[in-house]
Amino acid sequence: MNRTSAPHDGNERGFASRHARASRRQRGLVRSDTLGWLGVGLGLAEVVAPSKLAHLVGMRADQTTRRALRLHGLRELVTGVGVLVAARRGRWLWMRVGGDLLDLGILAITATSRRPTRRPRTLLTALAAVTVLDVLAASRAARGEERSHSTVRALPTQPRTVKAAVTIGRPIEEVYAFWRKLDNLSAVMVHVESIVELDERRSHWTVRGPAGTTLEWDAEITEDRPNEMIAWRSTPEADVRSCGVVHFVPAPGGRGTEIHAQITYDAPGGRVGAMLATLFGREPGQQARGDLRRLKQVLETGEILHSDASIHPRPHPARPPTKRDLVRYGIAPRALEPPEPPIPSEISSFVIFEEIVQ
Amino acid sequence: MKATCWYGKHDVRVENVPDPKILNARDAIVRVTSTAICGSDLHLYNGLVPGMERGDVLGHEFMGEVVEVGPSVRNLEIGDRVVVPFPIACGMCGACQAERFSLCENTNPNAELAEKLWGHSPAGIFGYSHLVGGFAGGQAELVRVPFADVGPIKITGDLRDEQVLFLSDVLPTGYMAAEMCGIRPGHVVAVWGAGPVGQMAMASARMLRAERVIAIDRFGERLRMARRHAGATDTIDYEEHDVLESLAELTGGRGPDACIDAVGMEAHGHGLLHAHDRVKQALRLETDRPTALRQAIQACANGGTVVIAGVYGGVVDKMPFGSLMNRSLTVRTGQCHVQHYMRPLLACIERGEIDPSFIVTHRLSLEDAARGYELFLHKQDGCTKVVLEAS
Ligand SMILES: NC(=O)c1ccc[n+]([C@@H]2O[C@H](COP(=O)([O-])OP(=O)(O)OC[C@H]3O[C@@H](n4cnc5c(N)ncnc54)[C@H](O)[C@@H]3O)[C@@H](O)[C@H]2O)c1
Ligand SMILES: [Zn+2]
Ligand SMILES: [Zn+2]
Repeated sequence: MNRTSAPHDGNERGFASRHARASRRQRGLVRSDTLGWLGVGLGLAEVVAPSKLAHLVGMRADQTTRRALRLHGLRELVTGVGVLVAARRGRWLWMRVGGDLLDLGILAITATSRRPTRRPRTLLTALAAVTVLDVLAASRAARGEERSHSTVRALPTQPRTVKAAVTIGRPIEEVYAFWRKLDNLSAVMVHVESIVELDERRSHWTVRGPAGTTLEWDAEITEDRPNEMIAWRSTPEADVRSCGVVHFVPAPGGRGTEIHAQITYDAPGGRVGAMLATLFGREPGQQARGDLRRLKQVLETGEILHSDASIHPRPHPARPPTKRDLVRYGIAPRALEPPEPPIPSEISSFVIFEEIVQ
Repeated sequence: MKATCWYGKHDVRVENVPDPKILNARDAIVRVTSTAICGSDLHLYNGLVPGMERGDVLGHEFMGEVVEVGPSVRNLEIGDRVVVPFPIACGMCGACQAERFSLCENTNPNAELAEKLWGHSPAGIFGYSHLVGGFAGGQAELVRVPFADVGPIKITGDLRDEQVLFLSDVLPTGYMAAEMCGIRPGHVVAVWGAGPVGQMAMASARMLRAERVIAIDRFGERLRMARRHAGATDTIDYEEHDVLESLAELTGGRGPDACIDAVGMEAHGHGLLHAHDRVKQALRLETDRPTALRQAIQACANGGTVVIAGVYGGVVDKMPFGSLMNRSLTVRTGQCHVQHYMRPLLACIERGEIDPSFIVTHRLSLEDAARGYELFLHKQDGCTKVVLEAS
């Protein structure tokens, strides 16, 4: 059973990956290429001719030194090649920075602990310079990668697919029924203001955008197999083009229900595109996982748990809210039906407390 | 109300903050009577745990009196005296059903942060960074307790606070560590770290009938406490003696059947490896300094068990993995599933089989929390456990 593939996304995804490859190439970081080659060069020298190199930088070429240089060279080679070929070279660059700092640390120790000679100092200066270059390139790459993930520019022509899964300890009928009553979803999806069901198949979605704006569109269910799957897409006239599918699968070992969701969206640029970008954030997958996690909380415990920090939209110290905060965020706990006992799981490998009670 | 707030490395302040409020239907508000500073708090105090915000309220080991309950809490009443477990657990999810409460799947609103660092998220914890929820902690006059119908246990007898307070954290933590050793008659257990967690682990290992318990630390008073109160049969001062040699000697060359690391990510040590760890930790290339853990692995008998009760945050270096693999060692670890152990351990205290209050060396008022952190960090003045009296 191919339970997670969306029936609607074939072409769009091919396009998306082509686009991603192209934009990766454009990120043309001349300097990080240079650094990559530099790493490869140095690495090769260290691996092939450690003794010569040792003399060059003023170290005794004993066996330990040669071995250390070879290892170091191997690392340079790996990160250098990583920078040159990897898709997300920022990571490899940061790895180089990490290596640099380690070298600096070790060198600083040798330079201060023993009688410092001039050469380790020269080496220290040279290393510091390389580190600065690596940091510059890495942070530039990070900025580049971020941009291509989040901005308006990336979105208009690039349909994106988001996947997420969660396991909920409730029977499949209950989970399906909860999802099928679409309005329930607005409580767990942070950005969704309301979902109004227009008829059996069509629904109207209102989503909060940045700075008090809203975005609205109609969606229709294209396939609905009770206790198995639901697929939907935006109606042809909607500004937001999106489609999605959710599968409900019994979790093994009587652990309830697995939900596998996949959403593909695409917007025509301009205002709507920008709003969508802000909505889904830099990591739409994370957003989707968060939504599913809140769905799990509601089904398993009856409500979404707040922490002192999580009620605030921005980072906030973990300290109790003021009365005004409660009003502002609309927090007013109501009595819940006592949650039913969850379905007993067949899986319980934990050693049950036995020894102490004699 | 007054609360102990974190402001950065070695900077905690007792400040006025808003009173806690009921935010969920199964919350309760507890007026704290006694709260302790835990070894885990020191990792925050030393600035080694990521995901802290200036102004966070600290504290996860506390007890007190219920002053308010949410609309769906049916088992507690105003005035009940309760001890609150440090992990927050819903009681309904798969992990809670399996009694692995510190892995509750529903109590970390910041699970995404934890997933980035650890792959999956554990439960939320009071006053212990935003990685595990961003919940205000219990080193305060009042505290909000989510899922109050699952965690807190009522204390009805006339036991003093100090006798039951540690049900909140270090007693079950030490007990779980001992239980994970799989102790059988004749077993020898070695415990690195004779802090509160180590002391509780040693006392529990004795309760579980370990033949011998060996305490390893560098503080004489803690080692003496281990012998006198926790049932340690032998002690090793690691500043005076080589630990691996001493252990081999004490066990006829076999090594201990089980080794407990009750030290964690800030082990103290010497030599090149320690210098390497410090440099890497300072540069944030390694988050933890696993000196004690490395030793525990090397020392353990073939086929034995290494239990990690000390807290680690991220990545460690130079783990003797070959030793682990080639010698069929078992590793068991975890934040304590406190809710699973509280009731039976309370029964033990009531029957007089254990009295954990022997670890308390300092009693301060909540206002003096900052001094308490300093004393406990530097183990000054024989400091082994600080209890803050809040009201
Ligand atoms: N797993 C859990 O649920 C849980 C719960 C509570 C605490 N903890 C952790 O347990 C650890 C200990 O907590 P504590 O309250 O006892 O703290 P503590 O700081 O009082 O105790 C640590 C002890 O370890 C000793 N030590 C340091 N380096 C050592 C070494 N190389 N070898 C041997 N001993 C060494 C110290 O001298 C000290 O006595 C901490 O890491 C804490 O975070 C875990
Ligand atoms: Zn603790
Ligand atoms: Zn749970």
